[in-house]
Amino acid sequence: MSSTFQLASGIEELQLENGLKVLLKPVSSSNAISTFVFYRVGSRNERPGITGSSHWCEHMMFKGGGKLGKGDVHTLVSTEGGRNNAFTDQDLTAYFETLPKEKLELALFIESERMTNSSFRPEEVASERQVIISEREGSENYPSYLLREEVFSMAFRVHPYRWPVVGWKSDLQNMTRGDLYEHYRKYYHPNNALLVVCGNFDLREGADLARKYFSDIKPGNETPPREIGLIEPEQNGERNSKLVRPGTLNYVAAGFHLPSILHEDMPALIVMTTVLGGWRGLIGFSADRYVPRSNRLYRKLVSGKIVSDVNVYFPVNIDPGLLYFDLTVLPGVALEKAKIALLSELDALGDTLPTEKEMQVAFNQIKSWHAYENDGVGLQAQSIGLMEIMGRRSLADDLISRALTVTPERVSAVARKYLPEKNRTSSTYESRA
Amino acid sequence: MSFIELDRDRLSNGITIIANSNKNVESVAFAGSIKSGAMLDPSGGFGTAELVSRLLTRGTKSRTGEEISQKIEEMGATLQFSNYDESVSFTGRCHSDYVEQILRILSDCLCNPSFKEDEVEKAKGELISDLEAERDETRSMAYRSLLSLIYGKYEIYGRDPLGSLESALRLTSDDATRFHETHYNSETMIIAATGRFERSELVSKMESALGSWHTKKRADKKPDIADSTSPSLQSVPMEHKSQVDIGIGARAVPRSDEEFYSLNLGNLIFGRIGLYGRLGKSVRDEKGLAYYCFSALQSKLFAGHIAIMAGVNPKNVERGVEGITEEIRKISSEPLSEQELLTGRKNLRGSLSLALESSVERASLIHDIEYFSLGLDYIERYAQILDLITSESVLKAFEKYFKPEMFSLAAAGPVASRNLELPGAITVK
Repeated sequence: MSSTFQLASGIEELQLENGLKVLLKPVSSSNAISTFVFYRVGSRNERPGITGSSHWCEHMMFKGGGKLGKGDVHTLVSTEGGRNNAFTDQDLTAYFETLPKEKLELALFIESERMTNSSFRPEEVASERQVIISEREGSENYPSYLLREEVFSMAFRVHPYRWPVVGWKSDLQNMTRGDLYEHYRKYYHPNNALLVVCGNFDLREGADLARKYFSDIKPGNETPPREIGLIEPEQNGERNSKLVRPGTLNYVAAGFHLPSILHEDMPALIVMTTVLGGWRGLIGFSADRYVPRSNRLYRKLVSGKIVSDVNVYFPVNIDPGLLYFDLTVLPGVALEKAKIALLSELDALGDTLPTEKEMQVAFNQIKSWHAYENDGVGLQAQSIGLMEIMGRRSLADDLISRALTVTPERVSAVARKYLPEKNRTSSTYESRA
Repeated sequence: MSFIELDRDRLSNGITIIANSNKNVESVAFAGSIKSGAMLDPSGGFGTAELVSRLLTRGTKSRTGEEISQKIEEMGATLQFSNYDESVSFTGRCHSDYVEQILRILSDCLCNPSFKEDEVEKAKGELISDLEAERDETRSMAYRSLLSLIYGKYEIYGRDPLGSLESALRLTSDDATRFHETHYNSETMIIAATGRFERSELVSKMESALGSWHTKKRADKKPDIADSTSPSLQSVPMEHKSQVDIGIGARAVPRSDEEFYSLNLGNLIFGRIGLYGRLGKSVRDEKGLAYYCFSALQSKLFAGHIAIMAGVNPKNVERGVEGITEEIRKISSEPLSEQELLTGRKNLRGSLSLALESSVERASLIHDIEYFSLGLDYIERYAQILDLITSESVLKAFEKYFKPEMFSLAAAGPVASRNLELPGAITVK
């Protein structure tokens, strides 16, 4: 297979005087353009009392201010047949519009207004409080969400990755308009943002439009430092818990601390993850419903009639994150049996090298998904921006190419280093009628 | 509006191929279907179609399930089957170098499944687990309950394509074999493909891989669809949950109905456009009652329905239903504004164009064009179709299908103490 896809190729960089970095990637075969504006703010930039503020700010960005009225963003984009939305994660917040190719200016107008003029009217803050609490309560209905929240809150004691992006409910009930607006003003300015444009546009015109809409925006007084000053201490023993709730099925989850996505072990950890649980891309947005089956965990746990479902989530984080596994235990199988089966399979990788066949399957999946997860200008703009926020736009290309040179010995070595009991946090969810 | 070139070919056994060559990508994406979905489940054997679809990649006469997965993933490819009420669909992706190999695997899975006892038992276990998970999900329970109210619990479109716990336990390898032999018919199969290939070469590879699959002839008759049910209400108490999911819905039209386009545009304005249209503006933005509140028009081959879904705090359930009912009343009694009409048209036109951007979406769109017999010139004609929609045609369709008195209501979550009423019984202040 001769896949030649390179995410970071053909990108032009423009640096505005106010600190905004602009990445432009023309794709002449497309009929669309996609713009993403990323802010270097996510739940890692919060503190107890205002957990969920980054996500709440994201919601407020649709409520108007400046030249935009409430709901205008949706109206302007949908009138042109486009798509728009936003998402908040642990390390970043992103806003996007994908539109017909001749509508680049509209997207840039929207994002320039949002960067500086959102009004945070008190009545809108009050109304959105209920919406966000409702979003959280909707998630709480799922055992998998509760289990994830449990594991992350145990695994991290110091670092803000311990709280969920949506925030703790008590903070959502008590946070004030002032807290939110302060958070917005601190992080929403050009020197803390990144604009990515991908699609069918003329490079010079794209650069001129970026200047037209963003160069007059004043920079923030100070650029928030990349380091947040909170370092998770090394874990020195397993942490575990047991949730018991009404329900129909039992679940198991386990997390292991991994380093930052920029760490030199990450290529080997990508291959390790793939050998264990298959690969569906670095970011996972385009994974659709494909379930990789040619991997150790599926063979042992699903084919072995212990669980009905096993998922592995690979952390793409600025700070050290968590490699997360979750299992849905088959009815009639003991929870403990499923947990032991998972852990013994993880241990086994440290003891037995992956076979040549396993390595080949892993390499081909990793290589193919690099192209699949960048299918279309929207996904490409998103990946370019995410990688740039993580450290550099070529990061995905580099990780993939370096992963393809990893040896079986390295895979076992990183399994021994990162999957031992002392680095593990696990929880079980036991359903009772 | 961008256009793409589509060609239709038929293999010697009747399989329809819709191809769109696109040299701008390195890969090929497939989307296909075969009309062997849950509607063909035998009485007492609900879930058979689901079980069969799960077993297609679990072993054939010449390969084990593990060998199939190994082969697919060695190529960095994907291939998966999913069962729905009308059809079993399949999707796949591969590098263009591997098209022939992936087609041979697809062929093997479809033509020669082995339905070995141990694989059947495994697949049944997973199916039972999925049914149990569904029983604990408020959103799934609200939606499934709503469909059973709209169509009838045991009727096509009303029952769960997964089947039921009781029937899943009874299913056997023989049931799967019989279902496959009887209902997997090449003449009902469509494969849409887009990506890097020469059309003639692709068709030749498909003929070589799939053309010799000879299946029993089957009369492709329209299934019996039960008459419209009276609006009714169902509560599914799940007191340990934080949120109530509600579903409000009624029968609408099949995809081929001439009123589909008016209803679709009206529904876009009502509950989809720009984060949920009028519903989102009222129930989410103004009243702050729900994180999500949208309306979906599901028009299928033989029937259709509208399902309005919302997630609300238990104490707001009644207000949520009232808010939705108020919007139903408005849209079924007042014409859309000219601006809404124009916005709706532009949005639908633009959305179709954007769906061509990614290979996966493009394959799916091409498949649907053939599945619903829309014609290979559909994309070219789409703007004209939309231009024929007027505020009057939308209102006429909504007066017919969208009166509050027609809607059923299902709610799942902490609802035991709630005082629910059908939309038709609610007097909006």
